[in-house]
Amino acid sequence: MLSESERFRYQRQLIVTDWDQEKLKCSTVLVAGTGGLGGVIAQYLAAAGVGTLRLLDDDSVDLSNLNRQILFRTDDIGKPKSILACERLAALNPEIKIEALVERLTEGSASRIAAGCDVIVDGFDNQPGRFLLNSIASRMHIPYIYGAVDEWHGQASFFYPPATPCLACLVRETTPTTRKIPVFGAVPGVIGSLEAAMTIRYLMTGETPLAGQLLIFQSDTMSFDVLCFEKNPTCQVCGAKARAK
Amino acid sequence: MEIYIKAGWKLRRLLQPDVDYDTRRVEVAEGETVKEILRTLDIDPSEVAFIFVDDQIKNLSYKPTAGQMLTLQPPAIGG
Repeated sequence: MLSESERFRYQRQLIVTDWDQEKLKCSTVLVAGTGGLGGVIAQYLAAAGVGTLRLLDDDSVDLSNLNRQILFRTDDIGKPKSILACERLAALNPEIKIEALVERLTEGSASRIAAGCDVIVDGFDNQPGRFLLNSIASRMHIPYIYGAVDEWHGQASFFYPPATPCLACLVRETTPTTRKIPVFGAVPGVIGSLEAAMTIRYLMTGETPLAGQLLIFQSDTMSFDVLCFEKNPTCQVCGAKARAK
Repeated sequence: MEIYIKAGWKLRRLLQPDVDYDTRRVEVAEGETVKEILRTLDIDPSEVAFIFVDDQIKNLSYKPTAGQMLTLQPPAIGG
């Protein structure tokens, strides 16, 4: 049941077709990373009124983060990102519950961190972290909303095996991970917004428009492309053998 | 035989498209693998994260057939 202040706060979205504020209020979302992608995702989910946000980030703010990580300011340097994000988002929307986790996602901590979440949203900045999220999401049967950026382009998808392929079905070969990733703020802004929109739409309607599809945004040509892909039956994460374990 | 290669962002510059802004028509020998084709085009295969052909992900050992469109995407890792 929405309070009077919630009805006032959300009045402009309550009139959006298909909107279900109660469902959002009852939802719990894990935002993995609070940087370029995660900061945007978390802000939109908090503003929209997702009932519980769990913010995971073990990093502290660095001066070089500030070209893209719009939750943070220059005087935040050295402070833990998830705590700061929690404070900023609580100021934005005190109606919701926000949990800050200053820790690294590991095989050991994953079940506790993701427990009770309706969706896991990817705000990570590295491939090993994403593969771990993917494997946890698959094992715990939680939808995983994927996003990643690099220079002038970004990607997004929705993984929820066995109904859909997973990240490991898409990325089968090793990609370089040691280089410093070139990135400027607007691209994670776009991809993070898409991830937030996908999360909200899924939580309210159960629809999964990017299941089995990879959306590619290229900001140098201002183009959006969608590439379809299928499940890999021998996938180590979501293939038949992996599921039988 | 002729195939078409379409490439995203960084790979597009290496591809030197001639059909439209992101697609190049390429003459290849039958049985040539994607890896061999990329080397001929002076594209480092390690720069390619995904190869899509007809809604399916293929690997570097895939051998395209005449008229096929290969879509190459570079990796996106950051956040």
